[in-house]
Amino acid sequence: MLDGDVRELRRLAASIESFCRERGLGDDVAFDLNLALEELFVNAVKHGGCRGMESAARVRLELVEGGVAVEIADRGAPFDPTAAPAPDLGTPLAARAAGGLGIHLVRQVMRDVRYARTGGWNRVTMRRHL
Amino acid sequence: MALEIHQREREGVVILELKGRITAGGEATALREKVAAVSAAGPTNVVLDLVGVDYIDSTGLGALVMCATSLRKNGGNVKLLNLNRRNIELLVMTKLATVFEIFTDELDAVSSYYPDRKVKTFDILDFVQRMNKEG
Repeated sequence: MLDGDVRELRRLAASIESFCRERGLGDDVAFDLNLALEELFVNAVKHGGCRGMESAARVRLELVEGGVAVEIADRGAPFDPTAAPAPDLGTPLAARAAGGLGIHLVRQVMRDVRYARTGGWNRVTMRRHL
Repeated sequence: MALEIHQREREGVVILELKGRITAGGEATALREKVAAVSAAGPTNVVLDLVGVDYIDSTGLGALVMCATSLRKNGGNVKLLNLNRRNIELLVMTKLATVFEIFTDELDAVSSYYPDRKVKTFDILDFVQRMNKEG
């Protein structure tokens, strides 16, 4: 369980690192899992109303055939990342807003991204192929 | 890990050596504040040495963009040095690789601020072609 605080990122990163190390998964896998989970967690804290919430999010990782099955759930406002519009990457630098790239990166590094809203939780499942 | 920033100067160019992660946990803000501080006195040319940066998230990418826009608005610029492969991939995925000059050698990065010098930039096209082949 993660509290609604971006300082929890370090704990999240450490958990991902030990998950990968214990299963002999390479740095690339750890990098992608980190990237996707951090982006979704930060989104929930910054934009989903999870800031300051105790036990705001939970993460599950499971090594399955051909990949890592990933689930992240949070108690924030309903947000479906699979429905978020793609950012306009052609915008000139000066007009680009800080942020807004997170969901795009999740889609780039993960497969089978699915969303469900159940029992007051946003639940995102996805897979990192090996 | 908090972001450590070590500042030095080479031929009038401010080199910021970064170590750690550039992420939403406060590190991205630290970078933006540092760049704002070094450029407060006027147009400033900066090289960000990212050799010690193992991870950048979207907030960190946003911080790099904001550093670039604020420096360029004031007549300065920023160049990126020693990005690891995964961080270059992030720049490619977000189409930011084309808006930053990337270098693998500090002297080249510094010399790029001097129009009369020959410099070798990182070949991003070659990198993308190799990335696509491997992917």
